[in-house]
Amino acid sequence: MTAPAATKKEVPGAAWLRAALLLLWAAASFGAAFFARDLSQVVAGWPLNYWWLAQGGVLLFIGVVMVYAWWMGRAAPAADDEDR
Amino acid sequence: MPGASRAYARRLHRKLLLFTLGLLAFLLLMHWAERAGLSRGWIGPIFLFLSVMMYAAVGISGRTTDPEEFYVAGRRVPAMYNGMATAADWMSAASFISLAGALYLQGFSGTPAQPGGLAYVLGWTGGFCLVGLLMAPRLRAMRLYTVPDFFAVRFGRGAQLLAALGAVACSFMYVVAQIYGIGLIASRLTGVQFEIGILLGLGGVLLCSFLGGMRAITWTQVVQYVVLLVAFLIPVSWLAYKQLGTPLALLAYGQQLPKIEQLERKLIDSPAEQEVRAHFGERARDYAERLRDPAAALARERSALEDRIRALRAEGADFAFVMMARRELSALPKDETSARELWTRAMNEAQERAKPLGGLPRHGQAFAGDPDGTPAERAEFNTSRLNFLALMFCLMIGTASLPHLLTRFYTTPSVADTRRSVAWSLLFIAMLYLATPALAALVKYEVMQHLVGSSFDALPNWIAQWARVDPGLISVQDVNGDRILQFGEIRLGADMIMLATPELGGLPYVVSGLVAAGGLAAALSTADGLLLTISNALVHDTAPMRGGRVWVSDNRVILSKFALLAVAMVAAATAALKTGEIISLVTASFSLAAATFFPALTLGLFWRGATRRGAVAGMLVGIAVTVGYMLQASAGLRAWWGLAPGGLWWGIHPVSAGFFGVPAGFAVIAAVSAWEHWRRRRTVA
Repeated sequence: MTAPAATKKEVPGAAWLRAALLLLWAAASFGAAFFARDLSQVVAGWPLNYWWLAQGGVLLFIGVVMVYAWWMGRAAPAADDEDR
Repeated sequence: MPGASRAYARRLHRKLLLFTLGLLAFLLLMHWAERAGLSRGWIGPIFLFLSVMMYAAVGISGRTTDPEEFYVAGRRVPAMYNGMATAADWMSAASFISLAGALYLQGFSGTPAQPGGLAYVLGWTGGFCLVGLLMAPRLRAMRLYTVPDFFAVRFGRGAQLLAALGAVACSFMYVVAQIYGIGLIASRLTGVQFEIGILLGLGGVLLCSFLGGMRAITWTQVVQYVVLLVAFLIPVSWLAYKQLGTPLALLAYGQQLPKIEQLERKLIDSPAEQEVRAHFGERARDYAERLRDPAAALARERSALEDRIRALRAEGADFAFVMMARRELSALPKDETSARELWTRAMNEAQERAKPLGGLPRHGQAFAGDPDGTPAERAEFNTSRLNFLALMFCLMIGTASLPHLLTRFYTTPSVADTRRSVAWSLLFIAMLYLATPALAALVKYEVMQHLVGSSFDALPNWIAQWARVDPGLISVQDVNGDRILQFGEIRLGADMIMLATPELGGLPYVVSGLVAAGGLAAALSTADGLLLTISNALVHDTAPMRGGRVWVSDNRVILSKFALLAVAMVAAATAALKTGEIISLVTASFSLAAATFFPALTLGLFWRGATRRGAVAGMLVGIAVTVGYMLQASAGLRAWWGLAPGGLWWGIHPVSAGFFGVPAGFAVIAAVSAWEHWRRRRTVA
């Protein structure tokens, strides 16, 4: 418990997955918001920028967290769960 | 014991299903009662008291003195239920009451004076990616009790105390906003005074968290989540059904956006609206004139009013008129300083309202200004965009550092459950956050299409009722004297739009009661979590570790309970001062939390090289930069020092001060740690 978590071994590839997902997260939020003015085309009845910032981005965030939970759960079955 | 835990989960599922069905049945019953003639004066109090009683009952049934239960609910809350509790813990009065209003007022990206809009939606959901990927799993693996525990284990006592202080500061600011929300709802729902409303709500909060700590809070929050979700989705779906013919607001509200744009164009060109704007322009110029020499203007105003009173008396006018003039006289500012402050504010407001659409930005327009326009327009565009990004940054980073949220993820049975739990939380939160922009758009359409243009002689009742609760929340004034309501003549406060939505849309009064109960649930659930965090920081996190381990004891639980009581009282007293809008208070506490915790948490978790001194220095600098920026840019303090308003760096709004504080914290931790390593290597060599 007292050992800093940083010293613990991690599943190989976890850091890469995190980096990729965080990149996706940054692009979907800050990237999309930065270019919001240029994305005002209407697609399927929705202004694209409004839809992305109000719905698409949030759905993508859910995807990011779910993919991470699923992948880590599969790659490290109880390996990092030192629980009773 | 997968079998036992599966049976436990099944029992929980059954309870949840029964509760949800019971809630819906209760709503149908109330709807029937309203039709049968139950008076409105009863519906509000019934919702208020029954819901608070219910939370209290759940809270009391979860009472405990066992430390493991009190601090982390025994670490056996299943991922999905922890997700629900987190969603309720997370969605505060700001999300439920203010966010829809803020989106109504700020449109896509907010005004230059107040950035916001969709930055709130993305910011308050995107932070969970950081929580799920970086923070929660690793913190959970360390088996701690509070967030400052991490600082104690990783960086030692100094950092622990600093973290406890930071946790108290940002949670306190946050809890004051929640209690203000509680007072607002309780007073509107029952017609009692604002201060008494606060006390009523406070009783509910204390019954939940005082007796059972984290365990009681967890299960009340699950119940509160169901209430607040139902309370949000019913009015949205109903409004969508009325306007669009389908209750699936999320899929269909896109159609309203072009219609709102058309209405906006019509309103901007309408001669009556322009009359109203010209009138406000006049008013602004009048204030500007007075401000040129406030002392003389004040004397002039005073003698004019005294003359009028004398004239009224001389001609033996009705006593009521004399009283009115007297009241005006006593409402004049006392001295030159207060006159200047008051008139500056009035001038700014009049200037805002002299703009098209009463100063509201166009609903679907991303950022103010024009990237292809004049240099001034280009600068406005860039500032507006930068403010949007900065606000989003602070909200996301703040999410990943708020102690009351992170401790919720200590309560799951395993690290894998923590990761799953973050996903559940975000899913539950998104259900409300995706619906909020829909609600804002539907309400805006309703106001522009139906409310605007109605006669002053037949204004709906709710306008007057809300104005009685707090005149700052709504003002409707026939500025150009044509007895017809123009868009420019309505001024709505962000905090009342959601609560007034059912009345605005002409829904039955039961829905109003339900929405208020939902807002109450949101405020209470967050206040519970925050109060527990504060009292734990005061009692648990100020005690030193024993043998290099964090520890808990029964005595501390009792102390924590009393600290909780005291903090709740102080917070209520502060909220009664009506210090500010809910959403700006909350945003400021996000900035503070981000700058205090985020750099030290991330580097502590992911960089073995981060040292004690580095962490302490980084936290101090982060707090100093953030608080310093907020203070030096605050209009009140600047006026007090006799400085001109301004002092912004790159035009960043003071609530987003974390935009500077977080990078400063990272830089200082890295620099001090690297310097220490370099020195150590030199002494060794």
